[in-house]
Amino acid sequence: MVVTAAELARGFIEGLLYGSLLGAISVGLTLIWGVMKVVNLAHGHLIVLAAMFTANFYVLYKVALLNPMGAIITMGILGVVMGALLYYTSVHPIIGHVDVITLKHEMATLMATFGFGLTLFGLHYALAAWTSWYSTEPGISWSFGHPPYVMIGSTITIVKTKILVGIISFVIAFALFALVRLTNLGLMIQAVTQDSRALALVGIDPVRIKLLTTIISVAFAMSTGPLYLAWAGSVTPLKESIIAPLAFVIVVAGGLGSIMGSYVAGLILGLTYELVVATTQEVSIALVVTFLILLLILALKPTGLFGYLDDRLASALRRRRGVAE
Amino acid sequence: MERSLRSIALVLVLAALVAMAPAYTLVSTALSYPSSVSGNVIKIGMPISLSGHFATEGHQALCGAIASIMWINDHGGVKVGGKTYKLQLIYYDDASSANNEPSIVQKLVTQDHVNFLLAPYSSGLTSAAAPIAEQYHVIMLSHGGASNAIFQKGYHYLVQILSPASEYFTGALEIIKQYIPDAKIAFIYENGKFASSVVKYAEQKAKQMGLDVVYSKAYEAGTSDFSTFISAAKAKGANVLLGGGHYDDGKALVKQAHDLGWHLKFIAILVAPAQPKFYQELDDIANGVAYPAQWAPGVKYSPQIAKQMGIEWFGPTVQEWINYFNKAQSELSACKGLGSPAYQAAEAGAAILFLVKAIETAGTLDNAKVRQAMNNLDIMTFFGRLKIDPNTGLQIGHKMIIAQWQNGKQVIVWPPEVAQAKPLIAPPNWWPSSAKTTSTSPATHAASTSSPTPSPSPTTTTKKTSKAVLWGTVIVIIIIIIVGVWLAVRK
Repeated sequence: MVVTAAELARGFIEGLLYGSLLGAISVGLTLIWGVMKVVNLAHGHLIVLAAMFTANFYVLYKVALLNPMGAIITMGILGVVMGALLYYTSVHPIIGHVDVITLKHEMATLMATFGFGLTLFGLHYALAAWTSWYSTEPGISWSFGHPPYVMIGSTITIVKTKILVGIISFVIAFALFALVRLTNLGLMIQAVTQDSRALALVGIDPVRIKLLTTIISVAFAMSTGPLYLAWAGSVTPLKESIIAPLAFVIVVAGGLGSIMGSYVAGLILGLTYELVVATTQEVSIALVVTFLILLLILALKPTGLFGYLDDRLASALRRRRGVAE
Repeated sequence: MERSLRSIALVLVLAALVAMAPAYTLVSTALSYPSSVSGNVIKIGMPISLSGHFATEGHQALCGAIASIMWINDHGGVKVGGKTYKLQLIYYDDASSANNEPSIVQKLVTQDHVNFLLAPYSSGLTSAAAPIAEQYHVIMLSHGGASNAIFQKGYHYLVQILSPASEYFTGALEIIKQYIPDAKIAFIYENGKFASSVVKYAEQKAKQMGLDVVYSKAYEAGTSDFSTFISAAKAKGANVLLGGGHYDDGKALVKQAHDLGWHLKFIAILVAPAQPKFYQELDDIANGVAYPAQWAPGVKYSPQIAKQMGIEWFGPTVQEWINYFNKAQSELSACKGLGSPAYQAAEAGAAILFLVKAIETAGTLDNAKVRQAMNNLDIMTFFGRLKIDPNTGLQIGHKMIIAQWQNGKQVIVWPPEVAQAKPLIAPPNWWPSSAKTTSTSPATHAASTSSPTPSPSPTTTTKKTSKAVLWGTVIVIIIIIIVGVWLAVRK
């Protein structure tokens, strides 16, 4: 099959937009896992929850605040509540009053958030069983603008929804980046993971910062749920098994703790995927190639693209290279 | 150590037995309609899905069969060799699992002593049940198994009532041949068993008919983004789309084809458009989308049409049969709340009629002779014409209908003898006037202008919502920026 330049160009543009979405989906996880060392296995479930609620409520009430774009706000607010819930059920009992978070705590949070995620997963089916209006396969149909596409040149057409999703994803990722890098709160978040006793010494309540970090992470995650819905056009609770692994791989490839790294890794993954689909027209090949490239990144730079050397990782690497500690 | 291992093994075996108990109890409860019959009776056995994921289709099929049995029993029963028999249906729930089929069929034949069998619903379950029926030389009528493959295995006693998968797109291709001389066909379809076999036969047929297939691509089950396939097909100049697979992908394919501004003269999609929610969810985009179906309540098969075609009519008229289907709904708890009959009900109902006609023709209940009689049958029923291929048992008489969404209604458009309206070619929402280039032939033009139901302008509702969306989005971005700046400045 001959691939035309137009198809490659389309693949490139869609890849950037898709990559932007993947980046935005992952930045919330970077914050809670990379910065605060909580392996949040409920991340994917929270995104799907937001997408499912958006779809179901939009089918019920077709108002602007509930359509996939307006719902970014609605779901962000719901994310505040869900973040607090996640913190007090799964995070606080384990690391609430722990000063330095170790691997043992990381494993314990993994199990706790796994349980939280499965509860959310079950919630969809329970709601569908209890109520008549909730559907596990909500039939949403939404497109943006009229006509719903943009023509570039004479042959490339891109759906406006995707452009919108790509741009808003960038805004969301940048907002979180600014929050962590440029504000006092961001400094406190970084400090609490390094030594919460020192933070308490200067009069800041570490528990409050941990709670805020969880809430911010979940709110940002849930605000990307409607974006995912707008991109994919449909959602079921089972889509978690597609979103979560992608988000985890992106966070690792971008470097644990680096929000910019996650966004860039998301872009690389999205670009590779769409370009391979455009050239081969086979989705299955695209997935393999994409993950091969991520493996390559990790093989060449085990800390990920923008990762800093965490103490544990650093000593492990030194051991591997035979350097005495 | 060894002792504890042994006790663990024992516990495991017991647990397995307990876990399997529901399966045994499930298979052991026989249900029947009518519950008791006085006098001579012909027993028909049926494994059918009343639970599991074919439960909806299974209930439809069961009640369709019961509606036909009611009609036969009310209209003098079956006359065989001077004696009159009543029909009785004995059925078991197979829980939509192929594993249950062998034991249920065996039970029906050896314990309930049924004379004939109806197959379970779906190709998969039918192919699990067919070998057992073949072993006992009992006729099994396939009313829900469209797959051609089952009939290539040499089963003599398996007889098909519905049109095989190879026929699904035949009607669509006939429409294209007649109305769209400059058609360039694109097939975009799921790589599952059913859709890919439908398309395989359709591609062969298109080649035979001299139609131009410019693009053909199968996608993985569960695909939700079709923009690559759509762009590639568009680039090849395709103006007809055939394909689909299941509900979600079929809907997404249609939606994205429209969103990407693909101008199409004709669209036929498997499965998805048959559901009423297809229109509720896609609104005006659904108009113009066609789909193949085995049957629909609006078909116009009648004794008059049979007479014109020189074929014998048998059984109730379409309206009579629908009345009996409603009667079954009000009398039987298993049939309550099914609403209007779906094609699955009609298929099973037609199976009963074909069987009864064959028994009366053969004049005996002997399976070998009834099967022999079926080879020469050519009848018209409310379901359409029924005639089988003597060698394979494949259905060759029945014609698929093509229905199309026109103005928010499902309208039968093909074959012409039963159509409610003409097919809508180049629907205005899919082929806007600006897209009508010089290549549009006079024939196409005539078809599109003479269509009885021009679609209304699609813009009003979409425009309103998209404006609200635009403002919503702008507000969201402004708020995010304000919050971000405030947080940054606060430091």
